[in-house]
Amino acid sequence: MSQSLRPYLQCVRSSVTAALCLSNFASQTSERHNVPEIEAQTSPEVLLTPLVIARNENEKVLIEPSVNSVRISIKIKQADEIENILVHKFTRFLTQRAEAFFILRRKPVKGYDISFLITNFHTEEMLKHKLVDFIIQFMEEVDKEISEMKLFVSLRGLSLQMPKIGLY
Amino acid sequence: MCEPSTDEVRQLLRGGDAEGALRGCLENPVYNGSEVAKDAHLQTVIEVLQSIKASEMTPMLQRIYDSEGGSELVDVLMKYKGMAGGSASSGGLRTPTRNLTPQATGFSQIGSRPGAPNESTGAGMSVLLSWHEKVVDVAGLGSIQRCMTDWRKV
Amino acid sequence: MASPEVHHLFHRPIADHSFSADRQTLAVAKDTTVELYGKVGNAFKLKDELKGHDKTVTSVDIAPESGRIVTCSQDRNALVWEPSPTGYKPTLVLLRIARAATFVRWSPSETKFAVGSGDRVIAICYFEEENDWWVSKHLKKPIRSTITTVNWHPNSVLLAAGSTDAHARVFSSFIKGIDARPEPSVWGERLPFNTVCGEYLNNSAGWVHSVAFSPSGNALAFAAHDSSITIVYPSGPEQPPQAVVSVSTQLLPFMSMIWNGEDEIIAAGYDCEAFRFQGGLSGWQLTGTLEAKGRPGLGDAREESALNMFKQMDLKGKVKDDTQLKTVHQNTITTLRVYEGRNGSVSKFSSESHP
Repeated sequence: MSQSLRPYLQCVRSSVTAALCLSNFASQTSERHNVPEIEAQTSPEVLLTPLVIARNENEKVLIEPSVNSVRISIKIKQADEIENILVHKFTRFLTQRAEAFFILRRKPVKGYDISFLITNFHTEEMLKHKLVDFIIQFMEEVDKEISEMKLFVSLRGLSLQMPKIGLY
Repeated sequence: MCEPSTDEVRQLLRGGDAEGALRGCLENPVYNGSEVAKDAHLQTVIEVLQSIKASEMTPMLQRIYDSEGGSELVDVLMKYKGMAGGSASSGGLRTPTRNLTPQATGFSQIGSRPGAPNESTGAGMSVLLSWHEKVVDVAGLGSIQRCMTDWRKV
Repeated sequence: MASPEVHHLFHRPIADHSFSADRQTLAVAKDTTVELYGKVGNAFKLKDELKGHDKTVTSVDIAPESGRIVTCSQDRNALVWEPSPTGYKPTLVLLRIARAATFVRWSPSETKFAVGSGDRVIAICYFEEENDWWVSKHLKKPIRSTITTVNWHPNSVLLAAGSTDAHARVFSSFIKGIDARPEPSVWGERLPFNTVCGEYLNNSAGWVHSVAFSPSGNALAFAAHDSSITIVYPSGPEQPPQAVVSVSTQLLPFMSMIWNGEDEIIAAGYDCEAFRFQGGLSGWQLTGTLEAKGRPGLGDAREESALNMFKQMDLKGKVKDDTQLKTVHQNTITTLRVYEGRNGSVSKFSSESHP
């Protein structure tokens, strides 16, 4: 893990912690509704300034806070085309199982690979600091995961050239 | 709001008074200036920040924070670090509200910005990220909170 | 410092809570119902459920004298629950609002209550004898956004309200025939309904989460989403205030606060513990946490062992009532209430949090 990763994650951690100050807030615009304001975007006053934290051009996090929900989008490092494909497959795999992840958004925000949507219901039901831990852990793991997969792909390519072992 | 005294700041910086220079920047944030003026000021801030040694960061921030009205200055600093990243990435972003560029904390994409010093982005970024960490150490999560709520943008 | 009593009621978010005057009954807002807990020995046992709302109950308040309970909910309604030998009887209040009701509190006189709403009004509700019905009058001007919180002045006429447009305001809610003409105060002399006696903006436009009059009613504190609290000392009608003191903290925002005398405020919120502020006209400052946790530079670290004990208990958020303060919440504290106190000084308070 490179040296600059730590301050980057630290920065994400503190910003997410600050952004996750949510409360139960019913819609100002539609009667008897209670929706994530960051998705609805109907009442400007309940949205806060979005933050972007970037380690470099290819690795950044967008945090969009609002009164009752926060959207956190991550751009995962993609150094080459293989990583590009892997990240795409990996995030697709996850988003197809979004229900199991509670806070995963089905569609990433434009320009990012994966998005989480955390609402006040999540922070009320779960421990807030654990949610933050989860995001950070995800960010730590995902790079590792992608590089591992890349290794597998290369190996696989290699093994395919040797027909005897090349079946799976 | 008047143009901040960039020249004075530079002079302080050349004279080795980084703390004075930093204070100078933070006391005169450009809230209603043009984009150009804001950019120019931002550059100065980054220049000042990069000139400060890592070991000096925390003590200096603490001194500023403890001084009269210092907590506000540190909050301003938090916003600047935000700006560094924000406007660069705004191109690809749909900015939701308040008519502002998304604000980043601790980050720079300086290299990609027209007119900004074209140094190695990696180095610039890690400087800002570590500044971010130090500011949070000194001013707490409250400063991030204010960075998000405040409509006055630098 | 006595240790807090911790009562873990259930693993669901709690929007609001209220104790009866004798502290034997605790009302807790849970989803769409309000649960009443009675004190049995040292524990609180569920004894009744008030069902009448079909959306999240946002607030609940028990009137200390009459024992009436008022609840409000995101279904736009407020209900007054009258105690009777056969249980609580609900009466619907005519709020005439089209958005969620967010916050409700009885006035100290108990003849009125105020309901904050997302409909840009505050409904001041009172009982109309001839119709046998709770009716409401709206405070409208100049509210342009959701009311998040209200707090009554001791005279039952002035009402402070905080809203998501970063304003804390003081209104007159004088209703002829219900209220006695209030004594002139720093907030004004003649106070017809909807007089705006004060309007204060948070520096960095954070939503106001909590407002509170000091025990004398001559100062107003409000907490906002930029992690600050602001204390306003008005000097008289139509004049700029004597002092507006704002404390920007290093902490996360506060959701609720209570005054302890004129020179101390206890505030709690997203940091999951209660903090103490002290000061006066010339300035305020954060003096420490009420928990014996010993953050560096804040509070005292003397009761380290107690801290560890609580840590090991690893409580996942509790409703608790709390004797001189040591907090065990694991999640955001949403409401602080005075539990025991006299003449505006607080010896015990209660707090609650999400699980």
